[in-house]
Amino acid sequence: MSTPTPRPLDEVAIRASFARYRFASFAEGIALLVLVSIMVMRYGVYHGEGLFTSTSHTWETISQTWSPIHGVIYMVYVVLSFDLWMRMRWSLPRMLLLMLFGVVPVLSFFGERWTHQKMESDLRQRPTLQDEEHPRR
Amino acid sequence: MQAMLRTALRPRFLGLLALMVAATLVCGLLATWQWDRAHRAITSRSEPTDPAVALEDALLLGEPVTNERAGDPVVARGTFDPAEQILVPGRRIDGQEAVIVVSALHVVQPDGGEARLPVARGWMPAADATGPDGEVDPALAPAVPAGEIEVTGLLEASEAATDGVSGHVAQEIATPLLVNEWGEPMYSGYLAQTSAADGLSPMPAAQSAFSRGLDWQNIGYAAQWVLFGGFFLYLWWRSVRTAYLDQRADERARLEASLQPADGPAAPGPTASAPTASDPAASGPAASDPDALAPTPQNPNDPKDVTGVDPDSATTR
Repeated sequence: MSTPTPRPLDEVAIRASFARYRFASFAEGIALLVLVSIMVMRYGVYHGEGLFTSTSHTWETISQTWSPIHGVIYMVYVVLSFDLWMRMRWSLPRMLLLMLFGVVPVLSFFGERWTHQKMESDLRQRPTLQDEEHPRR
Repeated sequence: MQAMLRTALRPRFLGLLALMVAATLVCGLLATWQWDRAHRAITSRSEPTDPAVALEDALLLGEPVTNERAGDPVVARGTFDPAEQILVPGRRIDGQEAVIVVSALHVVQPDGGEARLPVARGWMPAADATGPDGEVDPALAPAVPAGEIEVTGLLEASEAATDGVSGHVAQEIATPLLVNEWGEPMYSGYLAQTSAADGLSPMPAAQSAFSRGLDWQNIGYAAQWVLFGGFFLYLWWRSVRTAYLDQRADERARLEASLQPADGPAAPGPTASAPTASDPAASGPAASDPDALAPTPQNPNDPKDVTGVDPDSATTR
């Protein structure tokens, strides 16, 4: 059996999903920068004798508190990007790319812009449920 | 539902299912691994039923207290130094706020020298060790017994030090702290005295990480792996559902396209039974009313439009 024609995209749901994704993307980007700064303080400024040892009890505590919080924020980011990815019916590599955006410091801010552009061009080029309401865009 | 099952059983989705099940199994293994790790602190400890052995047979000066050795019942002989005693507050034992009393037992070595063995002599309720100012007061702890004595207890590894010793109070029973406070040489672990003495309650048996038996961090990781495993199965189900819904929309569009040129007020009964026979390419163009049906943006006028590209938006690209 041949692959069936994909159903049209739901532009309204996609834009709502993108708004959630964008929020999570900013939150993750900031949370990751905070984590990196904490790591710099813990292992850089207050470095111990060996690699990845620290002399600052305070920064170790801060790091141990923030790390799991950042973990949760990243999980939320992945779930929300998965939601957008599924609604846009993108390919699997693009999901991995979205996940990567959240891992590299600062990249998430550029990744969010890139994702936005891809979404807009897809909504322009592919059929959507809302095409009948706005036949010319 | 049955049609969806047929979609699920297509080779493409069966292959995908095999892959996803494999991924889920890997996640399951990783979850088990973390689960075991969470419980290791308890299970790897030996049962404290063996008869106590002499300290010199159990642990030599400078030897580490390995997991294998931790919890071994040991008898040590020596003298306590009244000046070398600290309190470790902030513990919970038997549901009570407890303060542990740790003293240095001077043990004579084979070469005639002396080494210190930290002994957790027992614990007292926090209220009894707290002075009127609300601070833990080392003077309220019972004094050490005088003279050479025998102490029976369980050998325990040193706890990890986080803070120092201040005013004979520390947060952990940690030899790195005590060696600075009392001096060397010192054994690498400590003895948790199980025979009650001097008005103190005996230290709890073996699994003596006090109340932190399970490692909740590892429990959390195990739960995460279970979630990831479930996610792969969910991904598979979503792909099947998407393909199924696409296919249904496709069939519907084709059916609508085939109905329209046939007759204006479509009679669904007899024609609906033959959706496969009506190839949209064969049924010809010539539809009159594009708005009557078709919630999909595919133009029912154009049977060649099976690529899913909306002709309207394609022109404005």
